[in-house]
Amino acid sequence: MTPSFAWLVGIWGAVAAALTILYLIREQRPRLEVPFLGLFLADDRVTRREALGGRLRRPGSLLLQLLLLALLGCGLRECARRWDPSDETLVLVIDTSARTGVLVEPGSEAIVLDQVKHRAAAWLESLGPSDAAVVIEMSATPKVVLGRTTDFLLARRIIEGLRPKKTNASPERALALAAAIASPGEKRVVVLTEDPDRLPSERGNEVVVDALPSSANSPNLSVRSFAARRVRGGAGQFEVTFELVYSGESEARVLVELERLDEKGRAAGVLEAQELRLTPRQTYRGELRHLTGAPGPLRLEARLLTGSETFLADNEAFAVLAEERLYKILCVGPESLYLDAALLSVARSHITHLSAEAYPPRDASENPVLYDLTVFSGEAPMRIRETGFALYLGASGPNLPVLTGTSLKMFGFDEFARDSRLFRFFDPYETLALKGVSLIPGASDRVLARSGDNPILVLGERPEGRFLALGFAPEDSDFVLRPAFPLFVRGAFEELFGPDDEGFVPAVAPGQPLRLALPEAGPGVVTLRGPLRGANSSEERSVTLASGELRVELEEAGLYQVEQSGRSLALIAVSLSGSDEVTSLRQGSKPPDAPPKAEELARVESPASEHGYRVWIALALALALFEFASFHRRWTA
Amino acid sequence: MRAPLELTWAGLEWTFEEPMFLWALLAIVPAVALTFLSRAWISRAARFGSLAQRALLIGLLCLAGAESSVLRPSDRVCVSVLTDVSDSMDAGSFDKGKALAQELQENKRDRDIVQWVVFGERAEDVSAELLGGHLDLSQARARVGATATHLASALEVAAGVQSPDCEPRIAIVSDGQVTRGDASAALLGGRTAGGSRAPRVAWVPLEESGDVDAGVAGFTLPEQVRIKESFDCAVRLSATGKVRGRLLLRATSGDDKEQTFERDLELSEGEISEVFSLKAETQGELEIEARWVPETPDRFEQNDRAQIVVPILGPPSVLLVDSGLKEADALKRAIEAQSFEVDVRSARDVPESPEDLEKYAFVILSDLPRGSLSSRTARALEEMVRGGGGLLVTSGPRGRAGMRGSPLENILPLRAEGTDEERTAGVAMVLAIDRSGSMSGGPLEMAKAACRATLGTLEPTDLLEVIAFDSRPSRAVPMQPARLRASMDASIARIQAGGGTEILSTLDMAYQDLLRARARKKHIVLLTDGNADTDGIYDVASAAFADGITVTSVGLGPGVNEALLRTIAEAGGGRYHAVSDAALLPRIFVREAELTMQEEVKPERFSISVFEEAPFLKGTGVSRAPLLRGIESMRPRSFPARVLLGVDTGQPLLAVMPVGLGHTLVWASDFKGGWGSDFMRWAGFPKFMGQLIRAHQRSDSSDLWPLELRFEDDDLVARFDAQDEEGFDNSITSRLSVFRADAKQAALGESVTAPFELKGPGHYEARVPLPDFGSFFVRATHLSQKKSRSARSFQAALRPYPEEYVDLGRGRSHSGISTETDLNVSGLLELPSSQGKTRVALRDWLLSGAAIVLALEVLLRRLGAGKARRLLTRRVTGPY
Repeated sequence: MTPSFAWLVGIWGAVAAALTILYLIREQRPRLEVPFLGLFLADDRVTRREALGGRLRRPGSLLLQLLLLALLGCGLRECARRWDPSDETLVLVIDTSARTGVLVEPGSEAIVLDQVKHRAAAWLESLGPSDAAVVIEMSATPKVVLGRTTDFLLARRIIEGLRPKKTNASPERALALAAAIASPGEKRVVVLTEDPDRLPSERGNEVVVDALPSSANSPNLSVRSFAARRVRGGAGQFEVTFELVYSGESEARVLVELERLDEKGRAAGVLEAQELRLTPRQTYRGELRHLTGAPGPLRLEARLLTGSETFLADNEAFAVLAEERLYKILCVGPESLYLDAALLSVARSHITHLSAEAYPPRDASENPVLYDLTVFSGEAPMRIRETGFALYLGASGPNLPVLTGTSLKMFGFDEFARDSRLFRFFDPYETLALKGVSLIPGASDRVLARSGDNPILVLGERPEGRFLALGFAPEDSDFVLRPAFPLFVRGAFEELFGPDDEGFVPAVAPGQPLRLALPEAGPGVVTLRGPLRGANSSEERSVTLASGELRVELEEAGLYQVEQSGRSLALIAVSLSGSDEVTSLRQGSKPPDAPPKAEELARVESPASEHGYRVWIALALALALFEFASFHRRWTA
Repeated sequence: MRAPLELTWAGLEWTFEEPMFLWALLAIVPAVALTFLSRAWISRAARFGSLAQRALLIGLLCLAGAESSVLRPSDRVCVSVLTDVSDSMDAGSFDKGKALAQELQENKRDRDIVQWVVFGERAEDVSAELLGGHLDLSQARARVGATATHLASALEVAAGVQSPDCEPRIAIVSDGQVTRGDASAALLGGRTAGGSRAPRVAWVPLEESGDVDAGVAGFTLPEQVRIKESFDCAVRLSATGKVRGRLLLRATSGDDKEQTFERDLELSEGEISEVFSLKAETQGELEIEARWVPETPDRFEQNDRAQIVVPILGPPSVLLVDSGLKEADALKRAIEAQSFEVDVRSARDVPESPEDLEKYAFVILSDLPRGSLSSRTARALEEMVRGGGGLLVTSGPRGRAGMRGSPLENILPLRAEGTDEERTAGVAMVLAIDRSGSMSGGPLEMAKAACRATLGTLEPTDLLEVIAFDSRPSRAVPMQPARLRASMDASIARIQAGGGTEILSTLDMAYQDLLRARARKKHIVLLTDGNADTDGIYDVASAAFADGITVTSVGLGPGVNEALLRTIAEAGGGRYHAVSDAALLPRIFVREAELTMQEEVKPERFSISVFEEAPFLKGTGVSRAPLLRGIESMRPRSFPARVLLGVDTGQPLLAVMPVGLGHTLVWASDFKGGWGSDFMRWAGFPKFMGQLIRAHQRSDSSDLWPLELRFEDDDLVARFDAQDEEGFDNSITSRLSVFRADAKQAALGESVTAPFELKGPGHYEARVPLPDFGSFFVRATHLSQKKSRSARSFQAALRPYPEEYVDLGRGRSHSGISTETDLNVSGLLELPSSQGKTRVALRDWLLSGAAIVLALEVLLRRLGAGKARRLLTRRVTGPY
């Protein structure tokens, strides 16, 4: 409650009256009869004149003192504005999404967030000593950057340290968080944003929206989408799709550059550059094909060559390609030239041979050597998980994952699962096997081929991993002589591992819940690092996997790396493209899918004055010195 | 922001935000000077007292103006007790959290903060309930929701009270199975901004539940289920350990008919599938409910049941195109008996656009003559096949080589043999007419009429030769196709009567000419009214018959050598006609032509053999089917065409070839009352047709662009890939619609739609907010500009229950934010090892102090005037 002017005048008047009374009391001194006073008075016309001036000087000191008191009172009044005994908590929700990085005007260095910080500081000024402040950053994942505090200097510092992030804003979550924070007294939530229309229309009564002026309406070019994908069987080739949105009113030349990045997010060379001409308000969809030479992540940047724009955060996007994996294959059992030749159909593989007696393979420290796939022929040893998935080609013995049934002679593939990836490129009707066995699948196993009623090809999973078992050795048939055999091996590979080079790793938007399966990760914790900033250090945190999945919400656009025990497990691309930050920033108009414009928001003035009290203090200081001088120099009495 | 001045003095950290004001302290210097130069009528003590007060005033004003503040040590702790009230938690854990918070509240110091936060789907600060509140578990769940665990929201709320001057501590009462949010990010939170210190986090030990849990994880079903088709329904069960129980499955169709199954199972840790074979008898919806009944109650009963509603599509539609609509009846009935809808049309009524053909899963072109399909229709049919449909072309009396010259010819696995000119004729006939003098007049004319009538009976591609003989033979009409009717007629008309009767050389000429002719059936009709030398005639006739040429003799009038003519007929394997009236000649010749044409195939029957096994042939017994009365001679194309069935002569009968995503088939016989009449009367024929069609019919977009459906938090996400040998297809426009399914109502609920967006090369994604649980129908429609192809799919999706009820034995998951568990109340409240700092702003106090100092100074100055007055009086009064 701010003391009213009348109240202050009243107090001042009371004090002034007290001082005046004291002054008058002092003036009421007993009169002495002074002989020959008249002679002195007649003689001392100057003294009389001075007595008049002195009589005038006498109240001067009092007046100066009263004026000094009045100045202090005004200063105290400014302070008293904040002496609200209600213990108010001010929750400042500060928008730090990408659009707050928009330049206030082209060519300037000031950005919208600077204005936001200025307003936030003004709100802090309005707080009294018993009030408290909470600062919430409104980004894609709103968070409390400063808990409830009375240290407003720290609050100002925290706010000053905020920077625009390459992220969305999530107003609903931010307001929900502000609402959930308890306050011993009253609570006021102030949302500082440049775009109040994206706030939910339903908000509590305690929410005040302090909307800043809209950013300058200069033409904007944004990368709305960007993705890259390897071409199936394309030997390292990949393709890229992207979409640009241009909001200018005149034609523009645009440069689009595709560059690859290294594992730390540093630029590692431009792969492709294109100059385009865009018409006013055009949405351009582009494709780049037959690209090679990108083992790692990619970055696409688009910039205007004509004119300038104020919003630059949406000019880039990131993408990662599915990993080109080198498969380590272990062949256990008698060597087979046919098998070796057939394994050449598996791209990017490294093959090792081992006898059954020497299995499992161990390194110098006796630790099992890791493989992706083990092909068992002959008498199969007990399998271990570390040697990956398994392909049993007519293997025998008690260590098979399936039981064997009757012996078979002169048989073939009477029925086979056409929908299986294994038979995608061929059908095995003509294959004739001399001898083999029928297999007895487990309850959850899938029979992929039969000879009559006898399963001869079974797909399943055991604790050691997935497996595929063939009921006959290929060398005991004409299979190995057919072109179908390498296709069978290739198909077996795809059935076990899934499609090769067809995986698509989409980018996610900031704040979007991400669930990423990490089949290669061990149980427990992984380290998530990012956004990668090249030589500069990046944020790092530990995340526990949930059922082999990484579940996170990544706030800022950029590249993130997932590691475990020093081994990189995955790269994640987060792009601003596709988010509201890109789609809602338009020049002078709203995007077609924006909600209706909210009712006219009454602009809320900060009750804090612009440091008015310091003016009073300065005047008071000057007057204090002057009054002191006037008293001791007897300018006043 | 201005740079504040910070310094440490007297063990305190001072901060001056407006350090410029401190320069005003220099104003004390002139004040000191003024004191020494003072002319005021006050005592020395008063003078210096005034200076001291004024200096203090100036100092206070300067410090107030400089926004002074001081940091003083703070040993506060702020403890947040985060209590998980989601459904995976029990009341005991809630009480534990509440008791801990209350104990902390009672034992804390005044300056400490204790916060109690409950969280489920969201979080709420309920600290006020610690002071006399009666919040119980159900009330807490009502406030924050219980079907999810959002630890991150609780950490964020906790951060709201953790000020920089306190040591933050967090105690978490939860099983750690977080289903929402990013807890480790929330803990990191804004601390990187320097707003507060990193909290010490500990988990309150909970009693580990030994209960094993098992439940229904979902269903695996075919993407499309059609009426009267059996399908496998796999129920996926998950368990956290060994557990016994019973799995109940009930399938209820729209007419309330039920199929029920029960199985006793023993589950071990992990997931298994139990497969049931179901069949929907009626179109509409099939509600499938699976219930797991454990032997002993397990942890969650909410996951013991799941229910999905599966759309049952109508029978697939087959388009049957036949030149004779009535003749197609038998085939139509046979196909309909196999639960297909059959639409019979004539060739000119076949839709010409691929979009109109899309509703048909299979098309049969039955015995269509050449040219009956327009090129546009043919192209549409090819498009349909490439898009996944099936096409069967049959032969027949009219349909032989029916696809020659059509765009479809190139996509059929069998092709008609040779061109028109090279093609073997059905029949080649030689009419040997006696034009001896005795035939002149009416008999010769009737003979010529008989030749013309024979010409009219033959097929255009059949061959006819007319030899007119008297004492020697001459070719009145050389061997040529019957379609050259006009010229042949003219040639026949020019036959004139001559003299003599030479049969041997005539017969030999006819024999030799027929030897050279390419026809399946060759026949000679010899007409004479007289006698001739018999030597050698029998041998010629026999030789002709041995070479497959039959000879019929016709004797006109009483003067014929009947014995000779009979001998010719017997040796030639033909017939003998004794004709008294020449007017009967045309009829006899026509009859001979008809008999000859019928005998083209009639004498042969073809048994069916399986050349190559195919799954759809299994169980049909087609190798034991009745004989066919005829087939068209066709040649197979090379791979990938495959000949599945043939006849005993080695000719192909049924061949198939993949074309695009579909298949074409050719049946070299017919499905009518002609060649295939016995075959169609075979009991296994409907099954054979049904299995053939099912194996090659269109199966909608599930093969073309199979949808992957997944629930991600409260969104249903649908994805599909579009790439083939030609690369990525980025030109597809697709739309996703999601309906809430309800088997009890015929109409579907409201739908939510969303377009698919191209997320990357050939990769499309649509995201629909779907916070509900239950069974849904998902419809996707696609149109590819690049491939000029459209497709659609309609399938079921299930979100059985919140993830909160999925317990896969993950155990305590600490979300990577702490593993400390040995905490207690005193540990939570113990003084921090390093003190925080609290800032006290001094401005207001300084300003108030300045006002007080001023008032005091003024008061003293006024009251202290007595001395000054006395001084003044003494000076004025002087020595008196």
